Amino acid sequence: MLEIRNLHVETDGKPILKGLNLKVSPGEVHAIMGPNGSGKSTLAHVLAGRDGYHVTDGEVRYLDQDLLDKAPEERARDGIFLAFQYPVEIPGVSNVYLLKAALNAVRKQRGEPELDAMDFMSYVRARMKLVEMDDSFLSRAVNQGFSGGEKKRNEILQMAVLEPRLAILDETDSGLDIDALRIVAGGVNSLRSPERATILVTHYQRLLDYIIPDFVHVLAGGRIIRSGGRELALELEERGYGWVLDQAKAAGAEAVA
Amino acid sequence: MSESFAERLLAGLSGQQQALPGASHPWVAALRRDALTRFRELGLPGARNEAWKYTRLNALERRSFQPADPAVALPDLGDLLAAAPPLRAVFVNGRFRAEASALAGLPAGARLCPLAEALEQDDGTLRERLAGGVVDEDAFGALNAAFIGDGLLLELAADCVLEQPLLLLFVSIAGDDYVSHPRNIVVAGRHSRATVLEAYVGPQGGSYFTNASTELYLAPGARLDHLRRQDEAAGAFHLGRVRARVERDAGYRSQVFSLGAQLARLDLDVHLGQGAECDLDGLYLAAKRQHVDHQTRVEHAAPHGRSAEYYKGVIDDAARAVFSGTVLVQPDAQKTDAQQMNRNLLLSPRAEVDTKPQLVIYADDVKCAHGATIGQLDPVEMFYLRSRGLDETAARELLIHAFANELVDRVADDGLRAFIFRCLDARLPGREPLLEGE
Repeated sequence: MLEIRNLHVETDGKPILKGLNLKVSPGEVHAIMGPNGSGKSTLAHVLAGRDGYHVTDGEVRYLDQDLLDKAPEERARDGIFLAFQYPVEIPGVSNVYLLKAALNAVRKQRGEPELDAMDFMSYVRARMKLVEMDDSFLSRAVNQGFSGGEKKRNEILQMAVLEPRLAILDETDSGLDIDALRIVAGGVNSLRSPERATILVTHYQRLLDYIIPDFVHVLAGGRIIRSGGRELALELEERGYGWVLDQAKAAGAEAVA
Repeated sequence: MSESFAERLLAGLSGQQQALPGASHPWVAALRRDALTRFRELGLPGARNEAWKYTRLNALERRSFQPADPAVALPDLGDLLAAAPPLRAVFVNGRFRAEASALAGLPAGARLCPLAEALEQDDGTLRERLAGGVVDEDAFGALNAAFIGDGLLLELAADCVLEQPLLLLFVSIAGDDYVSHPRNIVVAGRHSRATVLEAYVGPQGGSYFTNASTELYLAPGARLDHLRRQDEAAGAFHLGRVRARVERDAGYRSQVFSLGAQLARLDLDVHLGQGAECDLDGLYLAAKRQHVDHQTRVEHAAPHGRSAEYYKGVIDDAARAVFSGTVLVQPDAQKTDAQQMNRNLLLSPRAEVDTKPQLVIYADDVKCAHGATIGQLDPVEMFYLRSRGLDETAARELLIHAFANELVDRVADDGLRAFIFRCLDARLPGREPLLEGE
């Protein structure tokens, strides 16, 4: 589904990703962990098509097409969804309006008709239950005045509504209390399916107690220096990142500041 | 240049004063005469007048204006009145038209009177407000007084509550080179409450000149919601002023929507007594070569007053917007809480905005803050929307709507909000409906 080969990315003239490789197949959940500044969020942003990142080498194939050539909205319509680490507040735009505009854009791409008002509302309400949101969220402006937990739940709601093929969650767990984390994880888990892949970008193992990954990758110094199963995350939790970095260094990989 | 314009304007209007309502009452004649003298003394404001520094009147000065024809045939108002509040006074080319108005069902204690009628009848309230009063320091205010002739007088007795919003609709119909001088006066008694919307529209186009003045007197404890929608024809000139005197513990809410005219300006002056408060919202949209200027001045004259001002502008193409907001806190006005913010969204590299928020504070125990921003569409917000599947154009239009809509959403009355929204929506790019629940 997604294949990243030798990806090099710069921002403000500074190299961030330095030869990253990753392959994600339908049905899989990949966790990308790593110390601060390792390039985790850069990877998430580059996949979603954010401006300000310059790809200097490598390629990203998604559904057998070149992903990097596409505008952010084309990627979204092709089924890529990024849950933002810092969801953006948009005063004056109601949640329900954005959900409807987004869903219709995606449905159009899939060759499906727009939902009428009643079908749309029942479609959205069913998904709001997943993240325990009540109707009052719909009329509120997008993320404006939301608590940290509400913002993240709102991201998961958008994801549930858009039903992406590839969901990228950028530090969705950061800043969440345990109740909010449970709700968010429950929402993500309910969307797991054999056709859908998920990339979890996280700093903490805690999230992976609730969303069990198939693969865990350690990103450091702009490349993946170690990959493994869920047990790798537990080991990182126990021992920190130091030992992986040391091993990587010993193996000749580039040192990380 | 300005002298010649002033003289030409007066020549065009000569003999008009004698034909205006109430000319036989000495105080009315004196008011007009003094105001005319004042206008001649002041002359048109030029570049050296700080308050007019960024607003040149050349386009206006090139024109000659005749009095508006008061007897013009009533235009079809169907579209204009869609979604309009039921209680309304309609004026065409500055003159009250009873046949298009609907003023029945007023509560006891509320009195509505067309100003022409009040002038003719030598109305006591009107005389009390206007006779021997200070003539406007603003040239166009003086000009308005010199030709005072019609508009609306609304008087609310103490404790009177006008539950329905009142619409004052000023329709200018096609025809170049005429000027009207509407004057509205609201006298709100103690603890009375009302909502008044002034709307200035020019549905047929034309390059007429509206020179409108509104005076508001809020007795202690009164509440007035005052909306003002300026939606003049694209070729029109609109110079307006609102003066509000807000007495002890009274509350004034002003919501201004400035959308039309090639040259539009509003001077809004608010005087706050002890414990009085005002909320001043403003939204201006300017595109093509429009020029829009808002000058606000809030004077805190006594302690414990509160003022909150929020003006936003969307400026596109080669348009230019001016905002100047002054908050004046007098020595006695301790414990004043004054906030002021002006935000501008520039959509084109040729668009221009001049913003000047000013605090002048003579008291030492006050809470005051002000600020101004000028920016473009936020790239992070753009990316967020695009990452949800909206294309660049849709995302851009949505954000512009949202920026403007914030102020529409603050209109408390559902009907008025819809009424304001209709005209705003047509002015914004995209014209995608964005009503709540859509």
